[in-house]
Amino acid sequence: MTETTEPMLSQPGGANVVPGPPGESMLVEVRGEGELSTQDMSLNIGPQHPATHGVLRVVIDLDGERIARATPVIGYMHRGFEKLAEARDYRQIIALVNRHDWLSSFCNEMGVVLAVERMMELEVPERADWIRVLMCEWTRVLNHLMFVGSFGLELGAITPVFFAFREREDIQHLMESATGGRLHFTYNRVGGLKEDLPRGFLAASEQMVRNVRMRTQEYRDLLQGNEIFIARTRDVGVLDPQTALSYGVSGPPLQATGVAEDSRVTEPYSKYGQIDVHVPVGTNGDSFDRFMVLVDRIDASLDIIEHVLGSIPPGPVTTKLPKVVKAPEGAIYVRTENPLGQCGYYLVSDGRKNPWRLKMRTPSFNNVAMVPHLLEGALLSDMIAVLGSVFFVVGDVDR
Amino acid sequence: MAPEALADHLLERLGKRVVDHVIQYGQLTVTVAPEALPSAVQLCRDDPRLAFDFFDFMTGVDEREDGFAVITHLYSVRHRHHIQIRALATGGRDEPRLPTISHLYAGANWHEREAYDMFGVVFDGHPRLLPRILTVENFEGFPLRKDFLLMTREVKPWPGLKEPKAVEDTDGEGDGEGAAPATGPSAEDKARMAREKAERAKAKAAEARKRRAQEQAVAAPADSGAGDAVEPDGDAVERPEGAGDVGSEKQAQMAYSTGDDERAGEPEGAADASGEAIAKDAAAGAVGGDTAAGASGDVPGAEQPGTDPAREAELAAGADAQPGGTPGVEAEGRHAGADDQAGDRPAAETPGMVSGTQDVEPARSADDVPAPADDGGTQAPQPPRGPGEEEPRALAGEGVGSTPLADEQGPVVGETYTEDPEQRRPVGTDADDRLRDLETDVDEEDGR
Amino acid sequence: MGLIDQVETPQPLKFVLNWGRRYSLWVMNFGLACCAIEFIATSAARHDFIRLGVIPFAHGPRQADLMVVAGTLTDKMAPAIKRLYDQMPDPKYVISFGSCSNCGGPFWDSYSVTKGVDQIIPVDVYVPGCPPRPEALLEGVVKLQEQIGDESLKQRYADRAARKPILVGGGDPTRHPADDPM
Repeated sequence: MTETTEPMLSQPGGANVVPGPPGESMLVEVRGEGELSTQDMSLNIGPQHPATHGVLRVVIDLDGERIARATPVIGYMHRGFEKLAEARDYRQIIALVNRHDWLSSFCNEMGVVLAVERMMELEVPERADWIRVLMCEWTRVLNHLMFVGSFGLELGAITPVFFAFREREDIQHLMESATGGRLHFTYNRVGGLKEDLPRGFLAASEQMVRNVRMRTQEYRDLLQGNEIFIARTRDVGVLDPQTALSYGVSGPPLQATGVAEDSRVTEPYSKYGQIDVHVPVGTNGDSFDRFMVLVDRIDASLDIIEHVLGSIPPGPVTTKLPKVVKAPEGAIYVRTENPLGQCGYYLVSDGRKNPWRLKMRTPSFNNVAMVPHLLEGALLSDMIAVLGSVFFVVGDVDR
Repeated sequence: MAPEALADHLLERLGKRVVDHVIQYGQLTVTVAPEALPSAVQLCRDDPRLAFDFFDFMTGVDEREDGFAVITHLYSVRHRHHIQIRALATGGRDEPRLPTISHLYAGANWHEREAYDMFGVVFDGHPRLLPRILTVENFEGFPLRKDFLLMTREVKPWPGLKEPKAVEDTDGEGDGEGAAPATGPSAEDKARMAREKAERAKAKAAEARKRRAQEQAVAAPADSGAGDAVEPDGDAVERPEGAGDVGSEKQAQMAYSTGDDERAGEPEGAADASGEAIAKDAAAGAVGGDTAAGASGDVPGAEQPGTDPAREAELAAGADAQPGGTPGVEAEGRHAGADDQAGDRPAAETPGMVSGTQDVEPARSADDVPAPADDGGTQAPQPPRGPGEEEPRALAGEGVGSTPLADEQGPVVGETYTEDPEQRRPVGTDADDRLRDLETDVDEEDGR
Repeated sequence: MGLIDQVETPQPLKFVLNWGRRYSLWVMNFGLACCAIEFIATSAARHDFIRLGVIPFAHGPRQADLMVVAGTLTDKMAPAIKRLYDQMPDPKYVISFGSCSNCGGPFWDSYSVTKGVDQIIPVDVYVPGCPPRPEALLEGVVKLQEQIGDESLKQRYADRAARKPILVGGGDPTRHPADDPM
């Protein structure tokens, strides 16, 4: 082939590919700044992908292995909760809000019911209040077990997820005996609960606490000292407290940065004021800390459950309500500590039996908003560790 | 800072940028002029006495003719106070606009995008409001506006929108709340009708209880005395029976009637029955010979749905565990009975907060409970128990492996304690069966 | 597929081929919402659908036989699911798990929810519930396996409209919502 100095291929940045003599490799002549320029690749992750987090789509601009920019695209699970809530009365809303954060269903109901009760200035019976705390904490344990399992699964550890689901099955069995549901409980009512606990529930709870405590130690043994796990999560996705607060991050990601912000402690609701709630706090703000905070939270919840088991008084669990539950005119914001973070309900009522506006301030929305900040500059292989450690539920993000 | 102090501080610093402020349910909402929103928020963030560093949320609210208001909720981790800054978007309902605060708080970015998505409020200065964040990219309309209707509900309105007529509140459900219709019942009539309706319901319930008591009286020959005790007064029986039937028939009628006229005709007949219904209630409460059970004849619902003396008496007489809420499930708690206080108080030795414990107590079988009494094997009838005492717990000592719990009672002295789980098992409670399976499964796994 | 979809295979061969297909259903992980959690619970140790031959390790739609749509299908997600369904090779089966994917479920009046995945793709088994118990999914799988055992692929491809979906728990698919007593 005749030699020619004409550029055969022109790369951006001024590199020219010149064919060399026959039989020899091509000569690449690079002109320009000196570095071989590259082109960013846009990689689309999702919306369907094997991780359990559901339909989150992340568009990643990759510079080699490094993530230059990550853009989460949400809305694939947007079901219009807030609009639907306006068309439902307060009894139905309890069943509706079970489902945005589907792993913490009782805690969601609690927030809504507290909002309505505070507006109506209803006194909830003591027993109902204590049982609510009990159920909230069991839901928290259920939620955290799920994430313990799924985080391990994403990093390649298959065992924790099976163990976690073994626990979850047992606890769900317990919850089902009381509420009838395995995932969506709909056990709260405005002014109390649907009905009392079944006989034997507290005894079984007691036993379950002991089991879960023992097995939480198993999770620690499996993952906390595992050097692969540590290598994949230490100093990965470091978040500093100021940014976290500016984004409105809450829950384990915030507590891992060192900010011990927990509604159960700072603005206690229900019976949390009478319980000593331990808030585990991390130091580094990286994925490892987030995960450890999560596991510690399971233990903290078990402590609370034990305290509650010894404190439930006898009494009724329901309040006499008017035939039609109407919240008086006004607006209220109730914020509770959901397993995933601060979940708030901003309820604007105009005196009717369905709300005028129910804004659900969900923890995952703010937490996922923070993900681009975390992923910037990270390696692609760290993306899964970061995403998994943020602990979000897509229904919570999109509502 | 308390909301009032917060309000004062803000009013002082913001001056006439504040349009309004209101404190309701202990929460402060400050309405500022729309163009002052960024500066107000910045003040909240930077002022050390306010120190609102946590961005909670930002949302829109449809304010009918006034347009759309956008609420920004901030929280201070340091001072633990909240504030809501409200701004009414300029441009009314057609072109709502507000300046952005996404440069002040990073979280505001997505929240403003969502507010745009849902309400159409455009935030000037926002880096990128489109593409739409929550709905489909090419979605038309702004869903949370009140003029955006849910088509599925328009096509077929939900039937449960109106409460059923029979139990409808007479305070004008669905009609204008404030205005009393001229042709409607007066306050006294309404009260009288409500009272009579309550008494009719009580009569029907008493009738049902009486029927059940009679069935039990037939079934348990030992309690044949109770059958007589049901009707202490021969006279009182005939009329309530008749009136009770009438009452229940009318109750049934009422459940399907759609007009108020039929109901208006009823009170006259039911008023007679009310007195007898009260007496019958007291009589029905005398099942098992416990005439002192205070069937008060009050309007049901005036008190907490707690004590049901007829029920308690039935239980004391050895009736089967009846469902409390869900059929087949016996409720855990006792409802405010004074006798039960002792039973339900927490045992001092609950296995408390031993954190991270590895030493699960070995499953305790009958070793720790008193030796079984003479009954061994015979199907003895349940020993008589005093009122308010619980049935023997099927779960007690059956491998649960726990120290006595708040809700568990050990065997009482004098009571026959049997080892045989079959005898101790209460009838027909699936929840207990499942829980028992759960416990045994769990313990088998934990044989370490 | 060769001649299998054009020729009615003789019974012994059909039995063997159907047996092979019904007991090794590779399922694509298509969990969308809450029902996905129950799907995972069904694959976990207690209920375990692997013992039925349903294997959850398909690497993608192109290596899957079965798609279990678990969760709410929103309008934004609908094109994706159609695409994934199209990427699955025949013979493929779809289980609609949960009431959201059956008919829109509790979000029947939402502006952004597709009322039922059968508006986008054909469904073979409907498993009702919110969320359905894992046992319901197991029953759906077993019923599907029975149907696969009896089916003739020629008929299956010939007339898609004649396919009768299985409803776990019974029910009358011909009942029209307008005839609801409410």
